[in-house]
Amino acid sequence: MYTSFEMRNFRCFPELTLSHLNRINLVTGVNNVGKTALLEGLFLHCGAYNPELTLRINAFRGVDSIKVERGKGAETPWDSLFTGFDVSKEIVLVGSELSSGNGAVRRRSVSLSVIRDQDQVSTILVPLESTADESGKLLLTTKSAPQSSSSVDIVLKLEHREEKDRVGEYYMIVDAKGLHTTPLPPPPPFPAFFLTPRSRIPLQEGAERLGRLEIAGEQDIVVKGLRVIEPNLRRLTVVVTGGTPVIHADLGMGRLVPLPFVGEGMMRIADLVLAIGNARGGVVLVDEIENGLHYSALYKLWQVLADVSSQFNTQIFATTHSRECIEAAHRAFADRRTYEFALHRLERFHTGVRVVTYDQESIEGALETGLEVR
Amino acid sequence: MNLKIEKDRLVLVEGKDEELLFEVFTHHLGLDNLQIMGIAGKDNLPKVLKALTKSPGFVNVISLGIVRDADSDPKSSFQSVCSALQQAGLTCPTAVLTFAGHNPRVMVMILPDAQSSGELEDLCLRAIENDPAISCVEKYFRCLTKKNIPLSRKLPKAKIQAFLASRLEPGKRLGEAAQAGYFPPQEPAFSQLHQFLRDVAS
Repeated sequence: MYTSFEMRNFRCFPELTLSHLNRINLVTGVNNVGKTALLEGLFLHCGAYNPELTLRINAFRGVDSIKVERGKGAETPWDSLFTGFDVSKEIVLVGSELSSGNGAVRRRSVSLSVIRDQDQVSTILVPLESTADESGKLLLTTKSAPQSSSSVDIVLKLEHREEKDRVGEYYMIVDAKGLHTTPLPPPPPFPAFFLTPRSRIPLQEGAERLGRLEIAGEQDIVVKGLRVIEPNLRRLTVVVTGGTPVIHADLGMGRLVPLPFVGEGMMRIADLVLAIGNARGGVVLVDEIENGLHYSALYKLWQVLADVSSQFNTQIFATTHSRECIEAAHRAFADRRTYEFALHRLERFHTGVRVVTYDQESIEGALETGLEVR
Repeated sequence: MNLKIEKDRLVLVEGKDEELLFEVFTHHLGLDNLQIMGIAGKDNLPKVLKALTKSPGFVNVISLGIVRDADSDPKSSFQSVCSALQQAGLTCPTAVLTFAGHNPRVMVMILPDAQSSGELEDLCLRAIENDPAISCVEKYFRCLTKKNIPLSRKLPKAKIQAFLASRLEPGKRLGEAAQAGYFPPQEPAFSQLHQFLRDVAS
C-alpha cells in the first residue's frame, strides 16, 4: 500500500507530492488541474517495468492511435507525458509502499527519459541481455560492443530502481519496424487496474474476473455490491453468448438477464468490485468514480468498497467532482471502526499544482459548515 | 450551503445574524474586499478553522479576522479563539485587536467591546440607546420584574426582541433587522467594530 507518492516533470506537474495516503483516497479539484494525470502517474509506477504503459494511458484518454515519426526533431509518442512537452527532462515517479507482511516501507522509483542522441542510443541499445536476480526480477546487462543503431531513431528509457541497489532498465524503441519493447518486462510487483469514465471492461474480461473470484469462493462480494442498487439480485453467473462469456444476473424474473442490460450503474459497480477483488494486495485507480451512479446509492457503494478493499487488501485512488460523493464517502468511513479514507484536493499554486489533504476532522468541519472542498 | 472563499480578506463571525449585520457595516464602510463568513456557532470554530485552512483559495487569504462574543468572560473567549487558531496551525495574536502572523495575518475581536462580558446584542443595544422606543422597552422589563415574571439570562437578547417588536415590520431576527436599517451603522457604538473591519480589510 502506498504511503506517499511523488512525481516530477510528468504531464501538468513540474513537481507534486501526495502524502498521508490511506486505503481509500479520493482526489478532487477543478477541471484540468491534473486529477487524471495523477492516476496515470500512479498507474505507470504500479506497472514498474513496463514502458508500454506510457502508450496505454494515452489510449485511456481516447488517444489510441500513435503517430511514429522518425528523424531528428520528430515528435515522439511520449511528448505529452512530459511537462510542457519538454522531453529533455526526465520524468521521475517515486512511491513509498508499506509492506503488509513486515510493515516495512520500501521506496521504488520509475524514471522515464527520451533518448535521441545516436551515440547514446548505440551505447545502450541492443544487443541487450537480461538475467534474472534471485527475486525473479530482471537485471539488464549491456554488451560492450555497440551494434550499429542507424535504423533506431528514438528510445524511451524506463529505469526502475528499488531503494538504491536494484536497478532494471527497459526500452521502448522507435525504428523502421515501428514500436517495440526490449527486454520483455517482468510482471508488475502487484496488480493494478485503471477504470476510466469512457471505457467499460470488455464483457469477456469481466466474466473472467468473476470466474477468478468464483474459483476462490469469493463471488458473493460482487452480488453484495450490486445489491446496493438492485436489491432483487439473487446471484450472478457466466453464460457464453455467441461465443463470448457474459455475466448474467438472476433477478428472480424466471430467466437470467445479461448484466449490461440491467443498467449502467450495475455495470459500473460490477467493474469496480471485480477490479478490487482481482487486485489483491494491489491498486485500483478509478477516474470519476461517481459516474453512472445515482447520489442516493453512493453511501452504500462506499460501504461496499470499504469492505471489499479491506478484504482483498486493495488500495483505491479515485477522482470525483461530486460533493455528494465526498460526503457519502466520509459518512461511510466515519461509521466504520477505522477511518481508512483521505480526501486530497489538487489546487493550482503559483506555476504548479499542490495537494491539500483532509483528515477526518477537517472533512467533517468542511462538510458540516458547508465549506467548499472540491 | 456551499461556502467558498471569494475574497482575500476574510472575517469569521458566529452565525447568520452577525453575518448580515457585518455585511451592513462593510457596505456602509465601502469595504468591498472583505468577505464575511458565518460559522454556524462558536463551537464550530476549531473545526471550521482547520477546514478553512485547507479550503480552495485559502492560500490567497491575506487577512483573517475572527469575531466572537465574550459571553461571561472576554479573556477565556479570547483564549478559546487562540486555541482554535493554534490547532489549525495559525498564529494567535497576543491581544485582541492586534495582528499576528502573515499570509494570513490574524486579528481577533471579542464582542461587545473587546473587554467587557456580553455579546453582540449588548453592542446593538448601545447603538439604539437614544431611540425613543428604548425607554418603553426598559419600562416593559421593569414591569415584568415587578410582577416576578422570570426573565431570560440573556436579557440583552430579550430587549432587542422587544425593541424589534416596536418597528413597523416586527418579528425580524437581528441580522434581518440590521439589513432593514433598524441598527444604524453610523452609530458611534459601532466605531470600534468599524475600525476592526477596516484593519482586516487594509
